[in-house]
Amino acid sequence: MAISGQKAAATPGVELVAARLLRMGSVSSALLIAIGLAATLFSLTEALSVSVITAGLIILVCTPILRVVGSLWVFVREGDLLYTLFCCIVLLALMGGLWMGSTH
Amino acid sequence: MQIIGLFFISIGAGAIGAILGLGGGIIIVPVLTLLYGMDIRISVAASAVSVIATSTGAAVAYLKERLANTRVAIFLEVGTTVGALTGALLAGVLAESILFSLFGLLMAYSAFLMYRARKTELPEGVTPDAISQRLRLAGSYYDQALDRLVLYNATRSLAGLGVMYLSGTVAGLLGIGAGAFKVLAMDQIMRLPIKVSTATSNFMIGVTAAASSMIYFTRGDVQPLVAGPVALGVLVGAVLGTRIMVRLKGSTIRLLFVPVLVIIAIQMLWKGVFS
Repeated sequence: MAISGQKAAATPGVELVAARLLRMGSVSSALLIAIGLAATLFSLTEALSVSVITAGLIILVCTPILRVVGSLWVFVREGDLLYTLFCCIVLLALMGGLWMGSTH
Repeated sequence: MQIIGLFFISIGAGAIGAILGLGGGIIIVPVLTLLYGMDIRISVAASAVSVIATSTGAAVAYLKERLANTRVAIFLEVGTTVGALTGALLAGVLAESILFSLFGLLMAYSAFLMYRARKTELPEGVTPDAISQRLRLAGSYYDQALDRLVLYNATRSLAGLGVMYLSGTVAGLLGIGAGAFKVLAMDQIMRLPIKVSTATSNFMIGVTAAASSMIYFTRGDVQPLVAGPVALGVLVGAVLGTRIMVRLKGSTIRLLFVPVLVIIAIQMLWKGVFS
């Protein structure tokens, strides 16, 4: 009943995994996009530089999904049933949305 | 050149998005369609990608600062993702103009509430409900502006989840306002500190935008020379925005939120009346 803030904030696992995944994703996508854009600005082969930008954008789009998967893995490892379930529902809903979107 | 202009404008959008817990879409879409005269589909697709950029760019810093609450985020994401499915299912079934008008009014009312609460720095007397205790939603962070450790609790978790479901449905149907809804729900219903609400919202919006972005990608609406500079600029802006946000007082963030809510309200009411 008393303030449990400090005790509750003692699960560094998920935060660390999420932060690492997000940082890897943002840095690699930013690098690819920057390289591709620079190549376009200096009029190098348009098709190749556009592909590099697209690769960076794909990595960016996948990063949040990876974050959920990474969190799921941490919760499974910690034996946290409830949060494992939450992550699964989120992933299923995302896949459901994808499937619905692709059938239009 | 267009690419350079897009890049610099996007830095601003990313910074504002990171500070207020929004995706920056309310800036990006009008800029692309009105200023650059781009097709709405390309603009919306670039905006969706930029929301992921804001989310990812800001989340790294907010996780380190312990401002983004991952448990709250994952719990509420159950609501938003299932809601987004509902929204996609309902698209074309409900009269969107009515929804736009309704939610425009709701946003205007929220702007009023936020203005009224502008002097509030931290929530007080928040008793955690049973669900928030079971799910360990409480947390703490060090507030740089106040120079102290802040311990906080969450309350009315089920109501918060319900509003998240609604916000996901609305975002799936109408395409805007998702970030604002999240911040409002966490701030007004679950009574989290405003900085935790905005940071956690930032953490969450990436997931919801990822699903729509993948669909836009397969439809070919993501143009690399548009979405590229926008995403890169937003990433840079989001990182800068986090540095600014941690130094701001909660009351300042509340005050900054008011005109943004008014702009969203106007955008929604406009669509409700004129489409």
